[in-house]
Amino acid sequence: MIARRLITVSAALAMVAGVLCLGGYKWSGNHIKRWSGRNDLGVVSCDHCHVGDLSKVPWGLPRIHHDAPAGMALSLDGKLLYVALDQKNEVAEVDVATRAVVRRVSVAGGPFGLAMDPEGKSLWTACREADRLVRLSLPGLEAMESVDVGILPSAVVALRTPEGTRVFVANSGSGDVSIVHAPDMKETARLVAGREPYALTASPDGKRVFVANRLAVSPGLLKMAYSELTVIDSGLARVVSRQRLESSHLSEGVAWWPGREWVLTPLVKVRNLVPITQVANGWVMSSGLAISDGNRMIAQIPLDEANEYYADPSAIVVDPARGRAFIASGGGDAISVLDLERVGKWYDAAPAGERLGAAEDLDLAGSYVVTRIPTQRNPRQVILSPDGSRVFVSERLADSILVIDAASLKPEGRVVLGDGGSTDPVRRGERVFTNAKYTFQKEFSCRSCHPDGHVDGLAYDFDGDGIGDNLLDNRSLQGVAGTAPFKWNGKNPSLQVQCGPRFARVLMRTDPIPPAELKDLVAFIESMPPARTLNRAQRDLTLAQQRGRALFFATTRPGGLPIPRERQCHTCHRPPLYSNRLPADVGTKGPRDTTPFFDTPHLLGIGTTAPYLHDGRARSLEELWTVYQTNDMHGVSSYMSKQQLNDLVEFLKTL
Amino acid sequence: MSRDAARFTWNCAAIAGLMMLAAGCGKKPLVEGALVLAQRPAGAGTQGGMAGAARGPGATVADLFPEGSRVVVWEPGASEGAERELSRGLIAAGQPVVSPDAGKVYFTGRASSGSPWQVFEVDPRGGGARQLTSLPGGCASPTVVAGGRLVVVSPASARGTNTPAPQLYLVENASTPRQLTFAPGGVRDPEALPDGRILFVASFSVDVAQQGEALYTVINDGTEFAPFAGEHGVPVAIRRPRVLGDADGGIGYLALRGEGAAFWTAESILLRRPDSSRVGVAGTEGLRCESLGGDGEGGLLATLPHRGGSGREMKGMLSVFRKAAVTGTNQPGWTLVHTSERWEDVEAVALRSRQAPMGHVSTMVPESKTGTILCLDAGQSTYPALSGSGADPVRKVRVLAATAKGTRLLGELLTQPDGSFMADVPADVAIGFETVSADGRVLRRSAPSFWVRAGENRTCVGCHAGHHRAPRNTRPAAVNVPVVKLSMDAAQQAAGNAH
Repeated sequence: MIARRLITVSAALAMVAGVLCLGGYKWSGNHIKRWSGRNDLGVVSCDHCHVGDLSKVPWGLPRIHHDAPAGMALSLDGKLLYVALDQKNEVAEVDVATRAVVRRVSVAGGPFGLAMDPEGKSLWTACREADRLVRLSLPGLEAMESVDVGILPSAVVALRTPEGTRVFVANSGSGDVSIVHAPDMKETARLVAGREPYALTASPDGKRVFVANRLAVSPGLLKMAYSELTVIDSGLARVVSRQRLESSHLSEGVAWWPGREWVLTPLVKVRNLVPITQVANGWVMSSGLAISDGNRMIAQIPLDEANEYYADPSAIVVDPARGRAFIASGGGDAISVLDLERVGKWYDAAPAGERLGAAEDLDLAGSYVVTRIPTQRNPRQVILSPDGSRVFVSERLADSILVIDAASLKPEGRVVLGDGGSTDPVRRGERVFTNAKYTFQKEFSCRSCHPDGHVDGLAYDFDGDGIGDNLLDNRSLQGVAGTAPFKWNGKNPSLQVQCGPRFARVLMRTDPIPPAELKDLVAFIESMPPARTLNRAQRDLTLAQQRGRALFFATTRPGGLPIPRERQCHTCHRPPLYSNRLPADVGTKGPRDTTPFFDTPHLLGIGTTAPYLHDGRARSLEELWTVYQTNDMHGVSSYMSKQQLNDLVEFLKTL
Repeated sequence: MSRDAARFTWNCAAIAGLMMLAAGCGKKPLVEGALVLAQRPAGAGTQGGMAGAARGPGATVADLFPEGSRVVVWEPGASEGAERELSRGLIAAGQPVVSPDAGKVYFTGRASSGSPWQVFEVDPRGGGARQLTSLPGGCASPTVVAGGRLVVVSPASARGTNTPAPQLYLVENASTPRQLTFAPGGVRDPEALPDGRILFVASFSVDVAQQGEALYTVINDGTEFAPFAGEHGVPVAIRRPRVLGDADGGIGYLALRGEGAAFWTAESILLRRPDSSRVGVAGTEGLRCESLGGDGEGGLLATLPHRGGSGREMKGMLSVFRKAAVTGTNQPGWTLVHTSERWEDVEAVALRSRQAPMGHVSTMVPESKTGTILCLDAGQSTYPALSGSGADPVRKVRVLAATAKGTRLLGELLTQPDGSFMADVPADVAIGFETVSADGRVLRRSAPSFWVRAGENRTCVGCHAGHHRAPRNTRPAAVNVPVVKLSMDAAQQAAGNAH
C-alpha cells in the first residue's frame, strides 16, 4: 500500500518536474527570442547576457606588482643609474660601480619613460598610468612638479633649446607627442604622431626629434600596412616629415648614428599579405632595421639570419666611438651588436633599387652582426654610459639590469632589482607570452602580434581554411577575459584551446605550449585589462559622447519608429562587456568567407583596435557604417546624420 | 633453520636486491666521455682510400660495414680490447646514434648474411640489443626525432634497377612506418635538426644537367620539403650530415669534391648561413674522414687516419680523434682518443645527452588526396635561363609529375601578371616544372623532385629562388582566382585524347 502511494507520488512529482522543465525550456527560448530578436539561437546560457560585476573578471582583480625595469637614465658623470619601476610606482637609484641599489623613491602613476635633463639637475619621467610628466630634482630625487600630457606617455627626451629646456613626451595611447616647456612646466604643443608613438631620440644638435611609432596603419583590406617615423623640428615644434616604414610594426626604439647621420629604427618586418603556409624563412615576419637619412627612408636591412631569429627587436643604442649599434631582442633574450661601418659599406655597394628590400635577404646580416649577447628574460631598454664604456640592458621580466663592457662586449654583471617573480603565475605567463622559443626557430612570440597584449593593426591569411579564404583581423587580447568563445568564428571555447594546439598547428608550427606554461599564459592574458582610451584627468562624458551613448542604447528612431531588437546596438554589444558572446550575421560576409556569422567582439577599448570587422576591412569606426553597412544589419544607422554618427563613434571611443 | 638465521638470510637477500636495483639491474653507469664506436675488422676496408665504388657516392650500408663490423661502447681509461660490444649476436652492425637523453643507442645491423638490415636498440649500460624494425627491404641510418621516434631510410641496400629508391620513413611502430619523402632518385643519411626538421642528402635534376648532391629538409611529417644547402654548389657527393653542437651552430658532413676524389673529407657549414659558410674542417685538410660529429662539450669528434704507427697520413687505420671547443683565442688541435690494431674505427658518437629536437603539430589532412602549391613569382630564380636573357617574363608553367613510366605532363598553367600561380596537385608525387615564355620557349626546367603531402599548402618565393630569401609582402594575384586542379587521371585522359 505504502509502496503504491510512493510510486504514485513519485510519478506525479516527476510529471510536475517534467512540465516545469519543459515550460522553463520554452520560456527560455522565448526569452532569448524576445530579447535577441533572433529565432536561430535556441537556448543559450544565461551568462551570455547576464554578466555580473566586472570587478569579478580576472583583469578586475588585484595583481602582484614586480620590480620590472622600464626606462633608464644615467647621471652625466655616469656614476649613477636611474631605473623607472612602473609597476612599483618607484624610481630606483643604482651605484654603477657596485651595481647596488642605493635608494628607491616613490613616484605615483607608473613611471615608465625616463630622461636626464641636459644640465643633469633634473630627471624627467613619463608616468603611464597618470598621463603625467613628472620632474624629479637631483640629487635629492624628489618629485617637484608635474604636468598633464597625452594618454599613456611612454618615452621622454629633454633638449636644451634657445627657448630653454624642452621636454618631448611620446604618448602611445593618444598617438601624439607632448612638448613641454620645462621652465614653466607648460605643455606648449601636442603634435599628432603615427600610431602608438613609443620611443624618441634627438639629433646631437637638438634641432630634430625622431619618434618611432610601434603600430601599423592599414590603408585598407589587403593593402600594405606601414608604421611611421615622425620627424619633429624641435625649434618650430612642428612635424616636418612622416616617413613610412612599409610592411613593418613594433618599432619600439630609435637611435641616431652620427657616423653617417642616420636614424636607425628596429622593426618587425611583417608579411601579412602572404598566406601563412609556413613559418620557415621569415615567412610570417622577421626582425629588421630601418635606416633613414633624416629626410627619407633609405634602407631596411635584416637583423635575423636564415635558421636563426631574434624576435621582437626593441630598444637600440648607438656607440658612436666604436660605430656599433646594440639592439635588444625582447623575444629572443639577446642583444644583437651591429658593426655600423660594415652596414655603411654594404649600403655604398648595394644597388639603390635593392636597399629598401634588403630585409628579405637573410644572408645579409652575417656581414655586419658582430655578435649576439645572451640576456635574461625580455630585454627591452638599452642605454650607453656617457663615456661609452658600458651598455645597460633592462631585463624586464627578470627584474634585473645587465651591464655589458662596451669594448669587449662581455657581460660585467647585473643589477638585481627584484626576485624575478617566479611564484606569480601571471608573471610566468608574461614570460611565456613574450618568449619566441615556442615558435619554430624562435621566429616570433605572442607579443610580436599582440604588443602588450594589444593589436598590431594587421589582418592575416591563415591557411587552415584554405589559401586566400577567411582573412582574419588581429583582435586585442586586452580585456578578453570572460568573453569566450574565441576566434572570429567562435570555435574556440577557451583561451587554452585558442592558444594551445590550434596555434601550434596554424601559426607556431611546433609542439603545443606545455600544459603548465599554457595555464600561466592564460592567467597572464586574462589579467590584462581593456585598453584605456580616456585620459585620467577626464571625469565625465562630453556632450557629444553623451549623445552617442543615447544612440547606442536607443530602442526607437527619433520619430518613434521602433528599432528591431536584434538591430539595437546594445542587444549584441550588451554591457558590461559590450558583447553577448554569440555569433551574428551583420552583413559583412566577404566573397572568400565561408560563413556570414561572426563572433560578437567586446567593445572595451574598441577605439584603439583599428582596423575593424573580422577581416579588418574597415579602417575606422566610421567606416563600419559609412562604407561597410549592409541594409542596417550592423545596427540601424541609416537614419543617423553625420553629426549623430560622429557622436556614436565618440561614445564608442570611451568604452 | 633458526629464526635469526632466517632473518639474516632475508636481510641479505633484501640488501642484495636493493643493490641490484641501485645498480640498474646490473647496469653500471658509464664514465663521462664514453663513446659509441662503429668498427670494422682491420683489413676489411682498403686502407688509404676507398675500394672503388664500394665506398664512393653509391656506397650502401653493406659496403661500409662488411661482415664482422660491430658497434661498441668505449669508456675513457679503458685499455684496448676492453670495449663492450653492443651488437653482440649480429653478423654486422654500424651507424650508431644516441638518443637525446643518452639512455639508448640505435644502430643498423643484420642478424645473418641473408637477412635485411634493420634498426636495433640497446641500453649502452648493458643488456642485449632489441630489433626495432621489420621493414621489407630493410632499413638503415636511424635518427631520433621529436617524441623519441625514429626516422630511417628504407630500403637499406638500394642498388640495381629493380630496387625502389630509398626514402625516409617515420617508424611509429615496427610494422607500419610512414613514408616521408618521395624523391625519384631516393634520399639518404637523415639527421634531426634541433628545430625539428630532418636534414638529408639527395640529388635532383635541375634544368638540363644532373647536379651533385645537396642537403634538403622536411618536417617530421614529410611536409615543407625544402633545399637547405649546397644545391647551388657542386660537391659530387655528400654523406653523413651531423649537428656538431658547437657554439657556432655548425653542421658537419663528409664530401667528395671532384669526379676523381679518392676519399671523403670533412666539411662544415653554419646553420644560420648554410649557403655561404662552407669550409673544410680545420686540421683535417687532405685527410680521409669517415665520420664527423660533436663531442657533446662544444668540440668535435672525427675518425681520421692514425698517423702514429706508420707515419703515413693517408694510409693509416682510422682512429678516433677529438678537437676540444675553441675558448677565446685558443685553437686546440686534434688529439687521439681511441685507436685499435684489430679494428678500424669507422664512426664515433659521443654518449652524452643533448637537447631533444622540437616537435611539430602536423598540418596534413590525411583523408585528402591532393595538396596545394602556390608560387609567388615563377620568374624569380637563381638559375640562368635555358634560353633568352633570363629576364624574359614567364607566361606559363608546365607542371610535370614523376610516374613509374617516367615524367608526365600534369597540366599547363597561365601565370598571373605578378608571376604567381597556384594549383592543386596529387599528394606524395614528385612534381617538376617548366617555365615557359610568351613565345613558347622553355626558360627553366626542374625535373620532378618536389612533393606536397595530403592537405599541405606549400608556398615558394620563386622557382629556385635563394633559400635564404623571405617573401616580399605582396598579395599574390593567384590567390584571387580559382585554384587550378591537376590530377594524374586528367593528365592520363589528356594524353589519351592526344593520341
